[in-house]
Amino acid sequence: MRWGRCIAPLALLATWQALSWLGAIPAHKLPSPLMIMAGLVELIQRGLPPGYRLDYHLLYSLYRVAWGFLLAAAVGVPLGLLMGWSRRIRGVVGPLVEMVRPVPPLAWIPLAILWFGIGVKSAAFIIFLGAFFPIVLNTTSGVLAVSPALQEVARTLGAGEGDVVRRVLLPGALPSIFVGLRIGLGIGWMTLVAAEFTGVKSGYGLGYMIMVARDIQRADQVLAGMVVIGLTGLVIDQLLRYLGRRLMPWQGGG
Amino acid sequence: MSKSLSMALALVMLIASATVVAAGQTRPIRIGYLQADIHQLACWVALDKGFYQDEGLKVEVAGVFKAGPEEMSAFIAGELDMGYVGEAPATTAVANGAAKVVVLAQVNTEGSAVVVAKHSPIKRVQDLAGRLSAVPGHSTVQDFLLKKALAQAAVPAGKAKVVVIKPPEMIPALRSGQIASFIAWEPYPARAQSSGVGRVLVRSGEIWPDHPCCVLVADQRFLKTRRAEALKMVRAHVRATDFIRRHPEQALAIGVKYTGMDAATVRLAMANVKYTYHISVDGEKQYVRFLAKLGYIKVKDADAFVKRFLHGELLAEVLQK
Amino acid sequence: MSLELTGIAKTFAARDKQPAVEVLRDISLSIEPGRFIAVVGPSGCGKTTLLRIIAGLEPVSRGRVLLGGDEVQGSPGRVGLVFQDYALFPWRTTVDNIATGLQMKGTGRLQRRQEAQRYVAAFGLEGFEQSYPHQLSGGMQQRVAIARAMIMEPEVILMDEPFGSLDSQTRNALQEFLLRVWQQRQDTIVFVTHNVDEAVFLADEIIILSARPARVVQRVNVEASRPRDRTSAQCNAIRRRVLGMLQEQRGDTAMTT
Repeated sequence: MRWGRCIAPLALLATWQALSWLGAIPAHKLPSPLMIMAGLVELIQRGLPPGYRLDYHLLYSLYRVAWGFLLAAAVGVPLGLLMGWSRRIRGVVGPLVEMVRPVPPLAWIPLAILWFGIGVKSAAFIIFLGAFFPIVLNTTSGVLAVSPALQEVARTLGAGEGDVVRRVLLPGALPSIFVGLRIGLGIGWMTLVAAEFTGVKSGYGLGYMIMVARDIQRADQVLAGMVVIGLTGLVIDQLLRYLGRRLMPWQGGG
Repeated sequence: MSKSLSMALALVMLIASATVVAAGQTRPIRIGYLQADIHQLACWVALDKGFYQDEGLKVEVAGVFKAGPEEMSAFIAGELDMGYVGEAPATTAVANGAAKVVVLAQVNTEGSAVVVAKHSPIKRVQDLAGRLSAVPGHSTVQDFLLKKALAQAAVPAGKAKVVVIKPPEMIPALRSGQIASFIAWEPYPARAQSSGVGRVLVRSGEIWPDHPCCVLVADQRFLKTRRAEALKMVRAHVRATDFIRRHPEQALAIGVKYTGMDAATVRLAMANVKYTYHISVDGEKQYVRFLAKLGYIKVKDADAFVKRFLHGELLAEVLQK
Repeated sequence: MSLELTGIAKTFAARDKQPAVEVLRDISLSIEPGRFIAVVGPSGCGKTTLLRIIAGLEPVSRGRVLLGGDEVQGSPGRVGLVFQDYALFPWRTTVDNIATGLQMKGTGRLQRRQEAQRYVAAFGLEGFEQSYPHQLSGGMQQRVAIARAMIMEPEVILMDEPFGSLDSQTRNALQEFLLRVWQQRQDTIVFVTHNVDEAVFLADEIIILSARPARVVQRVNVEASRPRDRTSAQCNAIRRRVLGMLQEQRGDTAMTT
């Protein structure tokens, strides 16, 4: 069964490689899978710029994303809960959120550099903007979707407003919050790579690495960087899913 | 009935368009240049003064790019026939086997500068030790120039910290004190000066006199099939370059028109650029060795590579007459 | 402690182009402790609104609800609530659902577990202590919901068509189960249903409401002795009487509309 899932991607890779060997795909436009592998090995062993190794690029990127994402979750989840809980707060904050939301996070880059410089704070801010809105909106809609009957039952059982928020709305919205966190982390991860394109202080970062590879026209290493970004995103998402299953056992077989 | 009619009509149109293409065999020459790069003034002069038409050439600006690597990507994609571009991105693109272009003529030499904040305590290149400087990219001429300047000033490698920032972000970064200096091509140094943010610490010509900068390149296939037109392009380029030297005020006006910057800034920028069509062979050799040593390109024999990459025979032909 | 409703009226204000709706008109009731009261009426007449008012979840437009002499609104824990769709907390296990009210009260973890465990045993939920609601059958979920209300020892338990979505066998079993528990505990129960059979089988007294705006049309004492036989002549007679009155109410609505 598990092998069955691998057949389609493997067949695609084999076809791609074969077409490259036959010369149907010119290497300078799309390098073959083996060339990308070689580029990846070079990124691991030698690094790009030479001396700047892939593992450090990855760690720095993860560090920036962790900052931005945790900040977005720390602000987004409570704000989303409040917006779901109170119609008045929703009325005041909602239009503001809806106005800022459509602005692509990358449009903030020039301002972010002015406000936060070119260090981790700037990248974290951009990632924050990418991750924040899905988290807020999913939290709010999760709260709104909690059955009013549950809140009423809780009240008749002696719950105060704080109990309702903490013991009913929060757990009730948790599945939706997790969806928001997963989307937010995904967008944050995508945003990061682009944010690093404008330059980074440390000289490390996956997006930055891809930019360097682009500058010297190494398509194989550009693609190798993309593979690393994709795989890392996949691993992070799986981790979040796992965490979600652990935190929400009631979601299991249902 | 109407179906067969429309099919016949389509067929007629197809034949008609095919004959048009065959008759007008010479499709326009697709060129590219960099946005607001004052080095490439010759290109704008030739466009503006109609030097290409004078040669009987049909030229189409197929791309205005923000950075050299992007323009090289367009060459790789087969979207350009000739272009004004930095020698650095052209070299890496060719050495890494991605692009197939050759240099037909120099466009300029020098034309970069190290800039520090206006009231910075930094007086000499030595003072950059222990401070953070920005370069536009790791494999750029500017990166090379800064390394050279630091070496000349006996600052040990690794003593001055370097960060990559894209030029549009350099002036804000300098203004807010996040970097102590930057090195960039004109007009960024001129803009830093005229906006009151920075002053020039050292001009690139002082670091490395006559260092290579921008070049006129041609796609190899284009050169093979349409050599006569390439020759005319080189002639128009030589004429435009001479025009800049003879009529700097008129050239300045064209620079203002194409960059949208004010005359004072353009004048400042132009003063730092040497407009020349003579190909800097030694400069290119030095640069190739630098890139190979750092591992950005794999070139064993720099001399042989430069010989293939610099294609001076058209320029020589133009200059003979 | 008795439940006293005096002159209850409820009108929902006009909103979004919808006209104001008068739901309850001058309802007065006095319910003695330990009584099992069933409320029946034409569908949509406002039975649920009445329950929500008694629970303190909905303000009245006029009148008072007194529980042992106190205003009911803002006195949580004294009224228990059981819904048709159970309204269990999906993220809580059986034990934790039952113990919810104790947790709100601040009872210690160990103590509330022990207390809840007693209900698990008495309500036939052994082996499902750590199950989540979606893992339980409908009948079991409703038993959990009843236990969750009863563990608070409320002075009144309000049930809003609690067995309405169960199949008839489970429904009969739960009716018998509820009667057993009630007879032991002597709770005061107000039980809303649209099923007259159910009302006759369970209640000491049936309150018949009119069509909207609801008024109390009649209070019928069910004098049949317990345990009752659903098909006995006595039950049939009461059923016929109540159904007749309900039919009249439907006729009223037909005439007014």
